[in-house]
Amino acid sequence: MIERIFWIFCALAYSLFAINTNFEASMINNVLIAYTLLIYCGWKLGSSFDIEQHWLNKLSNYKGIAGVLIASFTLAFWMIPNWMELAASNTQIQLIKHFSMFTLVGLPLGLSWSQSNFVIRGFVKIELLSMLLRLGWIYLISPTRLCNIYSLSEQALLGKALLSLAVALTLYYLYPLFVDQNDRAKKLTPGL
Amino acid sequence: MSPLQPLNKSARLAILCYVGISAIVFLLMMIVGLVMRASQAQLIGVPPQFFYQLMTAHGGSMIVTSGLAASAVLWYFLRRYTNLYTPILWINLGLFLTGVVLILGSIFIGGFAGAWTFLFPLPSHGLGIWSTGAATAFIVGLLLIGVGFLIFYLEVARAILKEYGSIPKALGWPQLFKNSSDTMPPATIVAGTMVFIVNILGILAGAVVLVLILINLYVPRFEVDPLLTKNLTYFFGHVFINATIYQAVIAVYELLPQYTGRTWKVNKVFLAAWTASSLMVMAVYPHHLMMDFAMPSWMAISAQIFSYANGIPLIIVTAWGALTIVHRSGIKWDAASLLLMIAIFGWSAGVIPAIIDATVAVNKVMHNTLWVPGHFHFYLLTGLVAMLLGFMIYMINGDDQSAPINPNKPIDVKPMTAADTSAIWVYTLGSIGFSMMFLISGTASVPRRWAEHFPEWIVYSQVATVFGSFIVLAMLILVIKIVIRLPKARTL
Ligand code: HEM
Ligand SMILES: [Cu+2]
Repeated sequence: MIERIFWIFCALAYSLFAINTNFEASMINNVLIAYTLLIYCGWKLGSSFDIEQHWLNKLSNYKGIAGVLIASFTLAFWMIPNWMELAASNTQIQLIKHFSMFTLVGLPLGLSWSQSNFVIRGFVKIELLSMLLRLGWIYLISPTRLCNIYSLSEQALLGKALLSLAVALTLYYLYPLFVDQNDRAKKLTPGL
Repeated sequence: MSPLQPLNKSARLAILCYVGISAIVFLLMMIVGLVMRASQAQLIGVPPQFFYQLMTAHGGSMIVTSGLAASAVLWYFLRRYTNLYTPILWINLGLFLTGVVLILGSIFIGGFAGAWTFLFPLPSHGLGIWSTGAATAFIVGLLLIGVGFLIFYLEVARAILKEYGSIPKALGWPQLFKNSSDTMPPATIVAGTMVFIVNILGILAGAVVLVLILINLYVPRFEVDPLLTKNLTYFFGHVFINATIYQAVIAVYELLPQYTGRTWKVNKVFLAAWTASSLMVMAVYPHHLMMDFAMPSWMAISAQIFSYANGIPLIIVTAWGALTIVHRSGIKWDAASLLLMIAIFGWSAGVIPAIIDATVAVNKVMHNTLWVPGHFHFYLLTGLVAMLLGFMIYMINGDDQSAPINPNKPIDVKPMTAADTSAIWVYTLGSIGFSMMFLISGTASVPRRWAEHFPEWIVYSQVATVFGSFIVLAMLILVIKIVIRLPKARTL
């Protein structure tokens, strides 16, 4: 219980902080820090529930697919420059953005991830990588500012950051495939 | 190993759909190819615009159908070693068919004719011949097919990793590098592992570049770099079509042992060849960009070196393995095993003109001549398609369908009918002749992708058309046989 309150508190605290400062006036802060932080808190909250056997979950969230889909569509929505821009100039929209990052991206992912399997996870990871690469590429080449409030150079910097993130994530995802799963399991549970 | 369980009903039906659909599409698209060649030969009149539509349909359908048929081979044999989840086969097929409908619609309704390589910025430069909508349908169609295959190879990865623990173990690295005395991974596992690695990465590149082209269609001010786009496109295209052979060859590794009652010995040389090729197949794609002077020259040079080094070891271990397994085995040939042997020859021979073209000095002259379709038709017709046909005929050519496979005793074979024998040889000779005519035209500097040819070139096309009709005729006989007997295909 304490843990759950802690994650909700974190998200709230961040949100309060962000609307009272101009922290999100930097694109990197906005996309890389704010999004990640809110999603992480939501994820932690979601994964503290064990809903797998709940009838509603069985009915609607087969292998966590629905949760993963909700999360990806919401995230994609907040990657659209027009909405990012609106959120940056209007506090209400900004709050909605924070709220949906927490409850519509992080939370469903946390609730669903443990139920998903190798193929679904792999698919989400590949989709995430390709989204980072596409966005990074777009930000790098865009001749104009996609959001009026962010400068061109900052936009290009974000592009590079996203591309680097994609490369780092690729290595991170590949690494476990090169380590024997059975050996690893044995090391983790020496009693077996 | 525990005795093989028959395929479950749903998986068997799915595999048979893969086989039947690809056999029919191959035949139809060969007819389309023949129409193109006959029109270059001025034997029939095809309006130029329509020629490019046909060329786009022929190239695109052949590539994705090869992928479909090859994935059936992989699945069919992989499930002998791992637990595969059948619904994936259907999801892939569903996405494949939806994608194909979109692609054919974009070509024949929307008039899209930008070639299957969708090279940027061609899709957005329809000049009124095709609309943005048509280009969109083509790209979305390819994306859907890509999604299907992505799911398919993720499932392959899951199943292999579950059984073998990690990529190094599935590729036999402990045996190769650490002298481990564990039993070698079976050839199918080694090939399957290489294929899922390169294809997942290839599809990732394809998914990125296709969406970027799509965005550019609607927001032209995002000017994507044409050279970067071309790199990604060819990384994806080269890897995908090459991986079809690496899957189809599994039929050789699995079936020749069944025909001879021997085992396919996986040794260190075999493992080394596959590991090396896994890496190199991803490094050779710049041989498609040798004439792009803005490319760094080290890429062209390394592509040339890797192109030499990539194909040859695999072919040598495969051809050597096949010859030793057949040598003095008392093998009784049937249509399937004969096709598989021919395919090994075709693959080996077809690589020679490919390697010649991957030489920078030659490429300067041969780039974009008919030499290029010459080399790939050679190994696709006599190598890849022959392997796939061998597999298909094996599927339909068993009398005692559910007899268990005894690893120490050759399976019963059906003797070849006169129709089989003649169809196979006509197919083989026709394919060699047809590809040779492309190669010869290439040495005479006839450009590729030209709807209309100069009078001096027409004789090449005319001879090629004769060879092409041999192929189509033989294919007709084989495909009819395959499709008719499909319901009675093997269940193991
Ligand atoms: C009877 C058999 C076949 C015939 C008559 C045929 C004919 C042709 C012709 C005339 C072209 C255009 C050449 C040019 O002027 O550039 C072509 C291109 C092509 N063919 Fe075939 N073909 C046959 C089989 C195949 C097979 C089995 C495959 C693949 C598995 C294949 C894949 C391709 C590809 C990828 C292209 C390139 C299209 C492009 O340039 O965009 N063909 N074929
Ligand atoms: Cu290539």
